[in-house]
Amino acid sequence: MVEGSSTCEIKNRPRLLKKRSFYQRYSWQPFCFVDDKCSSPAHNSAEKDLTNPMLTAHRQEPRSGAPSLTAGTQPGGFAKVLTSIQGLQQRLDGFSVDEANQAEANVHTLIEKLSLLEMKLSRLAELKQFVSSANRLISEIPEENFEQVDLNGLENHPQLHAILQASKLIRVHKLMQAAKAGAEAVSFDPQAISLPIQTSESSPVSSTEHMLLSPPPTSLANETEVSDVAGASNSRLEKVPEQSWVLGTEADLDNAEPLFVARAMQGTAAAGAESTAQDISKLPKPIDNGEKNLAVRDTGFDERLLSDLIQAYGEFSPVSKPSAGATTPKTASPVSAESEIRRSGKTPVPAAESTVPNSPSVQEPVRENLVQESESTGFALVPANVPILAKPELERPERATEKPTLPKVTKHGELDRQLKNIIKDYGEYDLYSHQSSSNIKMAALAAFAVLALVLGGLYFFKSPAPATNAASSSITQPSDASRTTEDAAGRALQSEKQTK
Amino acid sequence: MKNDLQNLTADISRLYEDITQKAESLGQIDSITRLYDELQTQLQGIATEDVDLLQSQIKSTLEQMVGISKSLAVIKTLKMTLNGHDEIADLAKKGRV
Repeated sequence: MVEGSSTCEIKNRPRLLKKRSFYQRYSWQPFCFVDDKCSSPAHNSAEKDLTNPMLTAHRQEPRSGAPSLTAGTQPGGFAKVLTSIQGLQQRLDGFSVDEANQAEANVHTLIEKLSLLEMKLSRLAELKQFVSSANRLISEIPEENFEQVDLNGLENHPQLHAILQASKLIRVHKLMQAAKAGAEAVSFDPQAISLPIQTSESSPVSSTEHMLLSPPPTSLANETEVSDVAGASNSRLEKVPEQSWVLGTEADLDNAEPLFVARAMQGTAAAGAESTAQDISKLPKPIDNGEKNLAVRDTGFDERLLSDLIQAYGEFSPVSKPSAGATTPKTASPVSAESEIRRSGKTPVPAAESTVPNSPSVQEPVRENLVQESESTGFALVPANVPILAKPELERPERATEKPTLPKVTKHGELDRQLKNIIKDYGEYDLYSHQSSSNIKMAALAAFAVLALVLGGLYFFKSPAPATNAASSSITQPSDASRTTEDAAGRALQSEKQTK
Repeated sequence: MKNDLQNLTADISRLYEDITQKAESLGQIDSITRLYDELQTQLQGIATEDVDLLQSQIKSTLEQMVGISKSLAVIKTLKMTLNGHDEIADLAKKGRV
């Protein structure tokens, strides 16, 4: 290793290389020990490029015919060897051992980095081959594998098929119920055009609504069976937060998350979660036996099944902790209702009614009809009114904004509620829908018969009346006056014909 | 009927758990597929000839570096042999300081 500006005349500058710093000599070149072309006789020192960094050293070419240097026969040969060794030593003086160690370390580092880079490149080549083989395998996968499951068939998944059928059944019955309620309210309740504002004590429906959405009064004067059952169920409803006891609609059912979702989430969150059947068995029984006996009557509906369902699944059981945001829309609505009442000058409306400001006037008689029917049958289905009621429009945007903030716990019991609603809908449909349709048909037939009788009577009693009068008058009056009577009868006939 | 409903609820819960797990696995598969597509795109941008050329250059460089390392070892030996006394004196000075 020598500097670039060094020349072959080492004797002239013997210690120059040692005095200069190693790093100032910028160029590193491998040292050629064996074959130094610069020292060859062909290489003229005058023609040398000074910028050539290669080390130049003199080498004595053996003369032809002269003995070799190793023989040591000539005295000048040893001196030449010593001179060469001295030149080598001077060249080695240009750097220290530390610098050589550092250079060797750098070389080793470069070797490691280069070997790593080579390995990465080899891995890259392997990865490329793997990707090409994977693409070939993917292209060989038949597409029929993704079309094995038919969503409409679901023969391989009967449970899922049953769930889908149940959801469709729920939707269909909800729609049928809503349509039926609307048709009955429009066609058979002409008084429903004017909405009577009633107090909670005046009508049982409003009292039940009031009990649904507000704390029940301390004492009621006339408690009907309906209010008994409703109160028995509402005593537990009071514990339920208002958010979880919002009257359900189709949109709620669509957006609601079923019970098994929350249960599955709980099951996944908790290690070693209990089975759902055990959870069901651990649910508190909401209704005691006395209340259960109130609901069991002699009707066509299987009330025991309903009570067992309520016991097992507990629609009215508290499902979640009350949230602060859930009560805010309810508390804001009575103020607006009171302001409306002040403006209209009517009697004050209870808070439960004011929470449903946009409920159409058509639905009030429907509820009354249902409750009256329940009174007549002795069976109370107060919560069955819940899905019929239209959702207040003022609450919809608020609830839409509240949906992301609501916890999933509030959707507990949604599946149970749907199942119970199915059973209740079936019961209501069996109890009321056939009766109402048969009543409608009977009323229509009776009205038609009465109308036919009236028209027939008019036809039969009006047309033969002049003939009978004329005959009777001809029999009773004498012959001289018969002409005048006949004239009068003819005039009457002519006048009737004209009028006809 | 009650038992049937309980069994149905249990089946629904189990089915939902299965669906959830499969959906999660499907999501992982989706992300893996996306990464695989990106990798494939990047690999397609690298030519095989370039990789081979780079590998050959790296191999030759490595050989040269190995030769340099061997030369440095010889130089160190010569240095210690010829100018060892100076280095030893320097080391002794450093040790004294």
